[in-house]
Parts: sequence; C-alpha cells; structure tokens
Amino acid sequence: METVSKKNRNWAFAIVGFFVLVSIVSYGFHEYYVYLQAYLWFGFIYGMCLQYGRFCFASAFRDLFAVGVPRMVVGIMIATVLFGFTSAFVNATGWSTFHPAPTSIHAMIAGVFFGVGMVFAGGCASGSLYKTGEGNGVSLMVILSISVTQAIFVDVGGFFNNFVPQSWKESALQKGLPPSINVADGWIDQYLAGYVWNQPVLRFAEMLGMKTDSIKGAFIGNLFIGVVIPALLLLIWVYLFWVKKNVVRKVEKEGRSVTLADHIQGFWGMIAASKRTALAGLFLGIACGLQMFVIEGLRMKFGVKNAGTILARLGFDYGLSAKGTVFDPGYWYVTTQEAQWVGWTLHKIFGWNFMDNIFFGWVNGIPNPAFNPADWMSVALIGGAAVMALLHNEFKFKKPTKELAIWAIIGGFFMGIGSRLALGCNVGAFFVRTAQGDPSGWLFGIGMIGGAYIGVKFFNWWTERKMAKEMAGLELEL
Amino acid sequence: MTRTYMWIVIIVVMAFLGFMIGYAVPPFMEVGFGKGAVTQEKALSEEELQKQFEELYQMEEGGGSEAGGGE
Repeated sequence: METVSKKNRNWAFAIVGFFVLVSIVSYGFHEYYVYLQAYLWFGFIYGMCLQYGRFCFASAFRDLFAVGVPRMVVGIMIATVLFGFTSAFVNATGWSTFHPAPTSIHAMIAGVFFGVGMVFAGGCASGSLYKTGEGNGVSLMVILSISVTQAIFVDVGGFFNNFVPQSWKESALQKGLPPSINVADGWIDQYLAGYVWNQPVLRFAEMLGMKTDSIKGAFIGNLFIGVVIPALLLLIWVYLFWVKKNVVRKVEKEGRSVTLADHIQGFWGMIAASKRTALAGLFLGIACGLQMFVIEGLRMKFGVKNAGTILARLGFDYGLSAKGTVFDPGYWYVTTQEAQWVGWTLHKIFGWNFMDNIFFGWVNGIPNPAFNPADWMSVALIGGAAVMALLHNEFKFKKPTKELAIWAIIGGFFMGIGSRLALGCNVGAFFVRTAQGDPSGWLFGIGMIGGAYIGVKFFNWWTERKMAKEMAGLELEL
Repeated sequence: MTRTYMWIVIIVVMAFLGFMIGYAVPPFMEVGFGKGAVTQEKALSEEELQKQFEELYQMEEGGGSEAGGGE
C-alpha cells in the first residue's frame, strides 16, 4: 500500500474531526440530533464505499457501450443483489422505511432522460457526489446543475401548463389538496397528482400474492424473483454481447471447440473481475439496510413518523411542508435534498415561492440546509469520499475546462429532469428500488440503459465531428 | 501507515454507528422484532393521516384553532 503524505493525512483527519465535532456538539444541544447524525454517518460510509468501488453508473454504461468493458456494470449488478439480500432481512422484520414508487411507463421515460444526462455529464448523481469529494470541479458543476434544474422544474407553470393533458388536470384537481398548493398551476404538480399518483404501487411479492413483510415475500417474491432473476438476465445479456466473443476466441486459440463449461467459467470470470465494485456494493448494501433499521428505531424512540416533527420540536419550523413534513426517506437518496437546498436558497434570496407546489410545499418542504437530515447525508457523503481519496493519494483538485463545464451543465439538466420525473435518481429510483423488489426500479433501469446508449452514440458522433473539423483546419494550415 | 489511518477512520465510524444502533435497538426490543407489520397496522393510514391534516388545516383557515383563540 502506498504511503500517504502528511498533508493528505492531516486533511483526512480534519474532515473526520469536523464530523465528530458536529456530532458531539449537536448532541450536546439536544438528543434529537442523533436522528440527523444517523444520516450523517451513513452518508459518510456511502461516500467511502462509492470512492473505494468507483461506483458510478455513468462510467459503467459508458465503458460498456463505448469500449465494451463490462466490469463496472457487473459490479453494480452484484451490488444490487447484495443490497437486495440485506434489504430482504429488513423487509422480513416489517421495519423497512422503504416506500415503493408508482409503477408505469413514466419511470422508463424518466430513465432515458437520466441516462442521456449522466453520459453527457460524465457522472451519475451518486458518482458526481463522490467525485466532488475527490476534488473534481466538473462533478461539482454537475451537482449544481442537477440541483438548480430540479428546483426550477418542479415549479414551472404558466406557459408550460399548456402541455398538461386535460385528464391530468382534472384528476389533479380531484385530489383534494389544500388551497396553499396551487395544483392547477405547474406542470410537475399536475403530472404528479394527475398521473403518477394514479399508477399502481406494488412490489414483486405483492404481485405474486405474498406479503412483503413475510420471510417468503421478502426472500422469494422480492429478492429472488424481483432482484436475483432480473439481475441474472442482465448479466447474461452482458456476457452474450460483450464477453462471450472473448471466451470463444480464447478457447479457439487453444485448438478446441467451446463447451458449456467454458461459458460457465467465462461467466464466473466476468463476475470475479468486478471484485472491488462488488465489495463496495456489499458494504453499501449492509449500510443501506442498517440505515433503514436505525432510522426506524430512532423514529420509534422519539415517537415521530417524519423528521419534520423533530425539527419543529427543536424550533426549526421554517420550510416544513403543509403536512409538517420534510424529506426524510430513511434510506440512501441523492437528488431530492439537492433540489431542496437550491429551493431554500432561491426562496431566501429572491423570495421565490416554492411552497405552492406539491414537491416542496406538500411533500418535502424546504428546511434550512443546516438542519436538513438528507443534506447532512450528502455533505457527509462528499466528506467520506474525500477521506478515502486522501488516504489513497487519489485526491486532486481538477478545475473544469469550458467544454467540460458545458457538458456538465447540459448533463446535469437532463439528470435533473429525469430525477423529478422518476421521483429519484440512479440511487433512489434504481439502486434502492430494484433492491427492494420494486418493479418501477427496473423500468427506470431499462430507460437509463437506453438513455446511456443514446448518450454514448451522440457523444461519439459529436467527438468525431469535432475531430474531423480540427483535422480539416490543420490540413488548411499546412 | 495508510492502513493504520484507515483503521482509525473505520473505528471512529464504527463507534458512532454503535452509538446510533444503541439508540435504535431498545425500541425494537420493546416492540419485538418481526412485529413491524402488526404495529404498523395500528398506526394511522395515509388516508387517515391526510384527513387529520385537512381538518387541522381547515381549523387554521377558519381561525378556529385553539391557538387562534377560537374558544
């Protein structure tokens, strides 16, 4: 193992020390801060795991489609199965904090937007967070772009109301939302209340007539049918299209014909090659499951159903939703809190009223980022990734070039749109949902893979076109 | 040395994790593991919760809340 420099070591310990100090001081103020600390330390673990495993969905599909390297895709699938396994334990106890999402074609469409965006940006939502922890300026721009896009997108109305189908409008008005939520004005409001909320909310276990909080439902319905089989099918697809030809070539070089044993060996070799990402996935899975367990325990301990109640008891009632809630998923999430901090900032600086829309005003609120549990998680995630990068001499400030900055903004824009249409990103809408046996996660995943393919093809075309122009310029000069 | 530093960080993280688990486990012991579904059935459903919020909201709108001096 390489020796770490004194400077890196000091910075790493300074970051850890900061989080320790925040935890101790806040606990000194009130016991309730343990709830926020739970988000903080789990975020820190996620950051460490992501950096260690280089866990990035954009890199995964870009590597697969652009250069035919399946290592990261395979690693992510293994991680999903491992997370599914820990989730099944939590689900079987009946104490999971997970809420399945409405399932329909919207998840797939959203996935296409997200997939295109992550390839353009060069990082998915979680990947951009850990890369920011490594000092990558482009990733920071991606996060800013996702955040701003989401905050604005959930509030656009006026002219955009013309693009709302009449049926959505009528259905949204029938939902009985309070007058403070102006559901008739806002594309996303009418999309959510008029379309998404009408879609079925179920998991594989329930589709098969089992109960999610039973051992049979959690392990057979959700884990085996809902996670292992789809993941296995995806891995077989990857093997057939990208790995098989290498196995065949290798065997034919040995002067013999390919047997089933060779394919099984090749398939296993593909799995074993993704050890680092899979190991990170194992720890991510354990941490995700444990977070659900801890948050549920803390909710029981403090007698709350949502962190909004805790914030109100602590005297921070600014920015709570009309229901008195804030965004408090109880598990790993990335994009919603990013939208919240922009929403809070624009609300504070420009007086922009975000509280009349469903996303902020009815569900998530816009609490002060300093007291927003999910924000503690994201900040700590960046910190955890930074500590890991510093201790492995992988931390480096990278200033974005103009071209990369433009791609970051465009990519972040698409990811922001996709995240809000799907009610989550590659983590909240794919990784967590698929691992919990939520079919909408797989629909998002199919869309995301399709979007990544389109993104890679477009990117290749763009790069070739640019290079051809530059070459033509050189020829003219000569 | 890197390994030592990593272990220091891991120990700090585990210490806080243990602290939080220490907070979270007792409520489960009280209620009992594997009985989440039973307890959850007793809790208010989304519809009931929404109705409760609507009533609260109407009370505030109408100025009839206790804090508003309705009585």
